[in-house]
Amino acid sequence: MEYVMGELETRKFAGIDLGKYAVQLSVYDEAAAETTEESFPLPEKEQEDYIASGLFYIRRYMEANHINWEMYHGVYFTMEDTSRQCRKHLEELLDEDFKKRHSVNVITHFRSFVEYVFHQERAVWDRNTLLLDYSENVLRYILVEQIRPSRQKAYRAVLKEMNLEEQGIHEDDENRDYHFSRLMKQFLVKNPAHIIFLTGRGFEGNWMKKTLTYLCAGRRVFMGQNLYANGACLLGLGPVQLMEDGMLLMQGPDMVYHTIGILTQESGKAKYVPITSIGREWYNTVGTVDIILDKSQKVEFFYHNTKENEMESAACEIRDLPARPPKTTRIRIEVQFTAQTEGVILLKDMGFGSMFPGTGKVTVFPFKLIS
Amino acid sequence: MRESIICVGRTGKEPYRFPETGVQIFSYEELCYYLSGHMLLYLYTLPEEELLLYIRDELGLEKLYRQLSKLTDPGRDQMKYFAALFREGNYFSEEEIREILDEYRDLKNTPYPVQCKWTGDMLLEAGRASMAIHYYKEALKPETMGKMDTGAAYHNMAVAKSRLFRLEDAKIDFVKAYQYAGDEESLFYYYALIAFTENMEKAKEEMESFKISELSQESFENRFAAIAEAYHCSSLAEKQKKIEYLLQREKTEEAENIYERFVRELQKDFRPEMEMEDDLLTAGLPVRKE
Repeated sequence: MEYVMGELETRKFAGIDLGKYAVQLSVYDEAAAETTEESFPLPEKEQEDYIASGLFYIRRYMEANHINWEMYHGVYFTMEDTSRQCRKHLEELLDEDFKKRHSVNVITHFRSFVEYVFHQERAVWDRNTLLLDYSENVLRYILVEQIRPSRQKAYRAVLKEMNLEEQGIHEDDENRDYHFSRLMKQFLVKNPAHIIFLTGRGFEGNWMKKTLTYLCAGRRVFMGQNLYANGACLLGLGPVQLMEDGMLLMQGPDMVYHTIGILTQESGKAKYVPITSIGREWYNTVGTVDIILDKSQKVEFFYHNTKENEMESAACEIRDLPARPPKTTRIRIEVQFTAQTEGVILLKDMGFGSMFPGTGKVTVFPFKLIS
Repeated sequence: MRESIICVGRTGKEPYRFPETGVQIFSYEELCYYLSGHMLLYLYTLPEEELLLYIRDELGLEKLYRQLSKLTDPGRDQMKYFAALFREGNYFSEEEIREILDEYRDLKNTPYPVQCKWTGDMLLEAGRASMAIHYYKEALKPETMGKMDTGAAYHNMAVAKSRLFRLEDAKIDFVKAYQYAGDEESLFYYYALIAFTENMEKAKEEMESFKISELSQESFENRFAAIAEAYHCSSLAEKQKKIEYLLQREKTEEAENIYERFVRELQKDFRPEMEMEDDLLTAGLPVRKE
């Protein structure tokens, strides 16, 4: 008897950080549970259209190594500027071969770092974790901290920016190390952290001595340029449960901090059920749920501001539905954001199987959230 | 604050078709709605096992599948099966579930012939004439129903037989229906059948033997004329007229082709239901065990 053994399928996910000065490629191999990294610096003349240049280097690398897009189960892009224009530009540059196999997923550097942190062992995110991204004399920092130390813990990630010129720190200053270390002392008193990640061109050049000595005192410090690409490729492993549960508040541009939901009955008690979750960019936030209309053709939505813990509600009336008995209309609700605090709720009449066919009619209900 | 009923499970890609009524469902909510209105069909049996597989594979409700699988044992209380099914989601409130189960209990305590008559009515409404006849016969067998119920059972059985083109049997049952319940509606159906299979004169003659009033006779004639007129405006009559026209013009081949297509279409609509009656005689339907 002959046995044919199939090749064991292992999933690989690619994360691509399209930076202005370099493009980073990280590939997570699920079977080996390890990440391989590649970095391609962009020559100065190619930095103007760094998205196109970055993709060119990635394609060249793939060709040289006989890799094609099909070999990855998921491909995730991260960029510093994720404006509509940049996302559209990337989408235009990606060929049909890519689009046949993958959707175009773009996340911010902020989200990439947080994904990276929360895909690590608990020790990395259960206590305060800090990222310092130093480029063009601007220090961007992301602080991940626990905000509710109860049984069901909640976390907050904050993205902020500091112009170092205003702090008296200049890139060509020979006392930069001294000034920077002082700034760090003040900063860490206000924002204590146990683990610190350093990234960005500003940290290159071996100028940190005092700063490193101070940062490393009683803390774990990591430095590297591939953090965002690493975080992006880990998206393939699935969503962070804390994010799904609404326990991770992300405070930064484009990040959604409201949940849109409805009330339902559970064991005779009213229960709020979110349709969308927080912690993602508005353009990556969607949610869908099917409900059954009872006697009324009104659906009441509840908007929960997780930052302020405030709730507001709005009722949407679905008009012109055919007359049907109570509980024989299934409505598919789809929530889409068009900005951080704006969007539309689409309500589609699905009918009730072959007993009461749906009309397919869609009611559009726009929303504007109190920020 | 307004609360919503959130759907559970997936919407099936393929439908599940209830064999008794031919109704198709695609979701847990549709299943609940259908069952709550058709509990009468499950007084002596539970829904077939294929439904459980559908719940698991198409609706993705693995837990409910496991729970219901344990409750299919004939020794167990059928009420538990339905209670578990309705309590899986939020489609029905607890109060509604209690009402459905109370109604189910009442149905179980209803005299057997009446149960069968109601089941026949439900199946007739669903277009399952063969199965309906089976239940009407079961209802009439013990001869314990009141005159009105017996008359109604004969009338509805005659309607079912008419749908299967068993017109001679139907005529007898309409007469029996009139004899038991005294409802002139049954007599009108009898009148219409004679007018349809023989002619108006013969129908009129038959009515005289029942000694109906002139007013009733006139009303029957008017109603039948309206039905005949409605038929003349239908697509079926159009086809019939076309065949007659072609025959007059001696275009026999074309007329025959249309006629064959016409018959095939009618057979497609009626044959499954007519053939079902033969199957029922061999396989049988769920009834009370003696």
